[in-house]
Amino acid sequence: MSSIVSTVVNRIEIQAQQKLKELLRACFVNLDEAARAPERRVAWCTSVGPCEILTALGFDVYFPENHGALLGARKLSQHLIPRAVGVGYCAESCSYMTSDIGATLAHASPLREVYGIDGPPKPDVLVYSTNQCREVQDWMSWYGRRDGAPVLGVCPPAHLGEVTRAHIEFVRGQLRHLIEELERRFGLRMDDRRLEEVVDRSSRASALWRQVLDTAQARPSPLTFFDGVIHMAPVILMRGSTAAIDYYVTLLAELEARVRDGVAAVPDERFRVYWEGMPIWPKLRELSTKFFDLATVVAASTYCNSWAFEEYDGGDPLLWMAKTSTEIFINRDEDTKEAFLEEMFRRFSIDGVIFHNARTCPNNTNSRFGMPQRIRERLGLPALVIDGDLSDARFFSAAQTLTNIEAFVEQLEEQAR
Amino acid sequence: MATTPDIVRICRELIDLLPDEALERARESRPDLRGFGVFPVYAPVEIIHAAGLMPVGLFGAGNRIELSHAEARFQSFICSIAKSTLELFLGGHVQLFEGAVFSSICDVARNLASLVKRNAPGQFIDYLHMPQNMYSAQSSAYTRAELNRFRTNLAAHLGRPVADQAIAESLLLYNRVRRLLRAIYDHRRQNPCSIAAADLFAVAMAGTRMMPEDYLPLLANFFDQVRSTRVRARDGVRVVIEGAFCEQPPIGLLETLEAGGCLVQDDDMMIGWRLFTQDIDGDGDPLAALAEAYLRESVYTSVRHDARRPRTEGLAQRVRDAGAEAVLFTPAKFCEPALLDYVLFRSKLDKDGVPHLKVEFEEKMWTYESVRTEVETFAESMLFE
Ligand code: SF4
Ligand code: SF4
Repeated sequence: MSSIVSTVVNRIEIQAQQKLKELLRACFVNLDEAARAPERRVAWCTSVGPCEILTALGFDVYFPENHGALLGARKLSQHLIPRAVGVGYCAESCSYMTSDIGATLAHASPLREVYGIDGPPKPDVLVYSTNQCREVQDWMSWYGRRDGAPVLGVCPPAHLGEVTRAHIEFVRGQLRHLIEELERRFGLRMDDRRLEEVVDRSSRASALWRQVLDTAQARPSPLTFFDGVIHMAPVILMRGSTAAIDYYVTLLAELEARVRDGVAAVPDERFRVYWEGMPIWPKLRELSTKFFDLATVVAASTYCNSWAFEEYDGGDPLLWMAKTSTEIFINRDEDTKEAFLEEMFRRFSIDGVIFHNARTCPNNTNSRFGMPQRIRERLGLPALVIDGDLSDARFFSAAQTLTNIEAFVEQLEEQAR
Repeated sequence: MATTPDIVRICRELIDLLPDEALERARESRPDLRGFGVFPVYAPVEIIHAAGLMPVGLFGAGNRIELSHAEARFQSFICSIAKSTLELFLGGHVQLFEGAVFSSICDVARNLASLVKRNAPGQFIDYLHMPQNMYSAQSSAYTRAELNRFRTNLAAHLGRPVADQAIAESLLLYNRVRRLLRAIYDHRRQNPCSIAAADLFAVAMAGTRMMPEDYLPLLANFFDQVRSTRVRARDGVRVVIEGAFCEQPPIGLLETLEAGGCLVQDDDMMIGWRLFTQDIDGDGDPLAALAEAYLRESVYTSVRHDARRPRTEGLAQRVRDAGAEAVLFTPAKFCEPALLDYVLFRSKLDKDGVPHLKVEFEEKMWTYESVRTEVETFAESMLFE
């Protein structure tokens, strides 16, 4: 096929990656220690949940979705999900949840092999926000019952168009209530100054993360979506720490240097596409290689942008938390989502869009109800829908998908003529 | 006075009507009446009624229409109610309607609402962001504000106010409807042989196809008949149906469940239309009263999270109250909230030693033979244990 470029061209690795590995190891070893030390407490939190409150109250925070992704990336999910199905879960419910629960039932965790720790740290409390989906509530509750730990949550109004003052006040009230519950149950006292500091650090990490992603506006782009899903770990797992800020300062400098020097993530970059939806963790390498070979960069994604919040400029930290967590893309209505996407396509000079139709995550899938067709018609952008899943590789057909991607890039070529 | 079979026949006819047809039927006595669609699970029908409109339940189309337009826009693994509800709009079966209201029950409903909105120009399509947290200090104010937003926007669309006074009057009317439904359900709990599950379903659903003023006497009549008719007791496993809170099972399925050896004593069908456990006080601010009822007086459902009243307890209580021996889970195929809750319910029932069976359904179900065999096996295993 004419569009295949020789694979002899090598990728130039992002140097910061080494530092990232060390950071992640330290993070997990610390969590493991916290779980073992009687005087320390571990809180589980959803990825866009109110972790700043937990950090400010002295909890060490663990994010179970990361474990779901790891199980997917290590191709373990499909072996573990049947264990969860055995206790009643539907095989088409969130595969982060079912593979994580399956892993617990099977006493199997890649954390052992990767970081040398026994597995996820035992929770003292589990905290969720349904801003992303209600599945997290079910997921956390399973552990709450198993470990006898309290499960607390924030439930913002869902699927919003315009986010109004009333919505934010409602969520702010719930955050206040969450603090009171945590104080009461654990005999703690929130230090408001500390919360402000944590929120400030969280927001700074997030702002830097956005700048990192924005370097992909350059042509050629210095990073791809496939780099993004690796390097976004600190902005989720270490939000509110100085380590995350330091990491992104380093990464940003490296990427800016790449832009200056014209170092491309995908050499001879011809096309720039957008990834809408969840990553396909078990197939990242195949996909990344395919796009690389096609000299096509996946320059931006909704997923990586999910943690790029607006900046905190002092004032009430709960208001910032309420606003940013309610305004996230996944919690919005279709019009708002389409407007956001349109803006992203413009900012990143996108030539085509890939929609990942993740079988077990309808919440983060936007191809089920005609959005790709609308984007094609309204914006004249080619759009491809890929069937797959975030963690369960059984829903992904490599041969078919890779062929479809090739055909899609051919279509981009046609269009460019 | 109509007999029970007469009433059931009328109701079965009504629930088979597509939205515009149901409205045409109501227009025979109210020529200028316009409709307003209510997608499950819950919507404040009082506000719609107070606006002079007929609230009509949008429960898809059963298997009455071909999905010629909607199928192309939806993935195959989506519940049938979403597909056929969109088809109702695309196929022009909701034209006599001022609009429709959806609420934040699941991701499918969100998408459906926005698709309907795009495809129903000139109609007022709203989406209620009902609270998912019932106990925050702001829950009451938030819920009232959300209901008020709906009222205000509906009024703006219609170009006439929807006054508190009118809502309060509608509230009283719907109180009476819900009170009667509660009484009938109570009666069935005590005497499961007195009403076939399929018949009660038809009667309850008919209320989503009529003006409450017309429905009330029919319901009262039905209750009188049922109460005064002596019935022969039948053998069967006394069950509670759970999981049909949004998409409604085909009536043939309900008949099969009972023919297969079960006696349905309670169910969660049409739950949003009979959500409240008691009358709502209509004396003060009616929207505040509705908000309070939603937060405090609602029956549990899989789309409403109540931290202090877990749904597992709700189901256990329902089983106890009905004196049921088993639970039949009837989730609509691909219904995410129902399938997620199935895990919880199942483990609770296992713990309590309550047998259960799962029977999924979809609109395009033509034969019930395999379901019948499953149910028979289940029932026999219990009866002859
Ligand atoms: S957003 Fe999707 S992948 Fe994430 S927890 Fe919810 S259902 Fe699972
Ligand atoms: S049937 Fe279930 S999935 Fe479908 S719209 Fe209703 S609640 Fe949502």
